[in-house]
Amino acid sequence: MTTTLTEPTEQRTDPSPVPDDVRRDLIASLGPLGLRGKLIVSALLAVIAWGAWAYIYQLRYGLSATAMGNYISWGVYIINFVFFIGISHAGTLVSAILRVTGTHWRSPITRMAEGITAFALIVGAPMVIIDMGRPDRIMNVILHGRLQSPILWDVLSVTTYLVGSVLYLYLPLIPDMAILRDCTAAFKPWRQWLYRTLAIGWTGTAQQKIRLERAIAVMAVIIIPVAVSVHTVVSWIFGMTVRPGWHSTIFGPYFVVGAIFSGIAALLTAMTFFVWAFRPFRLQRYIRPEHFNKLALLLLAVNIIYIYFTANEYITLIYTREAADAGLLDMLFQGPYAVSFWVMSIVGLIAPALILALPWTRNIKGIFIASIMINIGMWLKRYVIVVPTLATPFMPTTDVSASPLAYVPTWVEWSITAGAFATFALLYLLFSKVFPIISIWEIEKEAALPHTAAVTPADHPAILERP
Amino acid sequence: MLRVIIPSILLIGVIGAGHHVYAQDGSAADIQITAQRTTEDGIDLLLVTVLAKGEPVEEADVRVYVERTFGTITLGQEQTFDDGTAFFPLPDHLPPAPSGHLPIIAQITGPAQYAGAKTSVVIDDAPISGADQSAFPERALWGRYAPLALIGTLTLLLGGVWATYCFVVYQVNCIRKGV
Repeated sequence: MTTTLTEPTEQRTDPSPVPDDVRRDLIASLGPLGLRGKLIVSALLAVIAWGAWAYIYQLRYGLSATAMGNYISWGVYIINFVFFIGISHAGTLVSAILRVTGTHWRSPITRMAEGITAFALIVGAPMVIIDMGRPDRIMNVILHGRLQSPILWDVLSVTTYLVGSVLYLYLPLIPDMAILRDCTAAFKPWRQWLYRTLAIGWTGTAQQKIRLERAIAVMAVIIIPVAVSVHTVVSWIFGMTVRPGWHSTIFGPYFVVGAIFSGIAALLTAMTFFVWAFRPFRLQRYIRPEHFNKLALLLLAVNIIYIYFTANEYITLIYTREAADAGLLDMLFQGPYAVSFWVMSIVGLIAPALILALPWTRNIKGIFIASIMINIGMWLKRYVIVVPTLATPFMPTTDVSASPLAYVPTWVEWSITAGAFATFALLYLLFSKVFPIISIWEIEKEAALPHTAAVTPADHPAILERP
Repeated sequence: MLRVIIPSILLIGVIGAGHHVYAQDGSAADIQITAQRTTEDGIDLLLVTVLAKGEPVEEADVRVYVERTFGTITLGQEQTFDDGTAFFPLPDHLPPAPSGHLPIIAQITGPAQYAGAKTSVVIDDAPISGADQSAFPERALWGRYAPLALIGTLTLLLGGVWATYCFVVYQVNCIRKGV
């Protein structure tokens, strides 16, 4: 099957008008999975099952099943944790910040962004528990935690952010749940029950609308500092140590900018996927090239800022060349971690900036490629932050062979990583098949389309059939 | 801690002197190494004696060390004299374990047939007894209890955020009730 991303010949510069059949298209997208969808779900489930088995193996044999050791005590799991927390900023930026600033073109993509946030946190937060050799001791963090520890701050902030993100994902869903609830004959009983429950009696009265708008507005404002605090605190896990490469005063804003950077890239990847995979449901009518273009320009701006932060970080180390920092720099620029560092820099930072900056490459295809490169680059960036510093310890390593300072993840770690990414993809895919991935009521509100009649199966037989 | 307790158990009833019989080849009395504190010309010394079947062992390599958190610190390496003895200066700057005891281990490193045999001496009067806890404020970032300003700040911030969540949940509840 040919998978091409086509674009309309004319460029739309305003978000409205939108087609009258917005409800039909978006409700139709909730139909059962086709063969391709079932194959994808089966493959994801297989990867998840393999990852789960790898974790059971790790529980059975302990962390010796991984490549972590006395010196390199953090590895792929912490990298995944920071990566997923990073892309969770997609929802904060697109849904919250653009909402607060009154940016109307965000409407078709807010739910995608909020979904990325919620599911990234659901997958990312447990990576820390997976990193523990004794997960049964997790409660010690609460019961015997030290309030002075950045680890405890991290637990508190990530938990707070997760609850807030789920709340912020749910609030704009309420009117859409009511729309789906009213399509009583279109769905199976379990879906009808789900939509009825989540709609919480929404009837669209003026008072309900006021309360909903108020709740969404309050959450949009509060979730921004929470999101900033989360990634700042995550950075302090590293920055509050005195290790070379970690002990940096700019780690807080560096991580926040990096999170926004990878979050927007993840959102663009998701948008491209949905426009392509949901083409029969004509999502490209709502997620238009101008959405890609505007987000791409935002991504370019953040890319440049992130390059600035990265250059700042390394130039100061290069200029002073303190003994411990010099060892780290040698490892990064020309040593065992040089490949990762330069691939991260070129593939993750420089090349995407060029693609996004040049008008003849800033199309949907180019933006999609740039977003993938950024996602890969930002994962490598977290690897370059975590591992090389651990491989250049302050404590003398006399009478120790070189092997403890080398880190090659084992099949257990890669399997669990693959399982985590598959879990994220599966949750997101299932979410898009149960709930409208584009907010129906917000699109209609933007276009001021009147809808007084509920959608019935007679009008839209496609709901019950796979297109 | 076990490395402190086990040698100490072997020294039941003996303070300041150590005696341990260990056999490389499994035989009980092939090699004997003892260590005890002594003073010469006002200098604190550790006298190590190595005997094989009751006879002094000359030119046996002996290493004296203390165990630290991430490894050992060698205090000296000497060869025994013709009378099987070797002298090592005792350090006056090493902090003891929290219990106040400082175990010092003497181990034979050569010749091969005796290598591995060791004994230990526990110093009870190590001059440095560890950090004076009273020098640290009770509430500090590196102290036992968190500073009040930190507790207050975190409580205010998290309390404010969760109070906002409660307000939002209240709004959702009002929507559910239709009020």
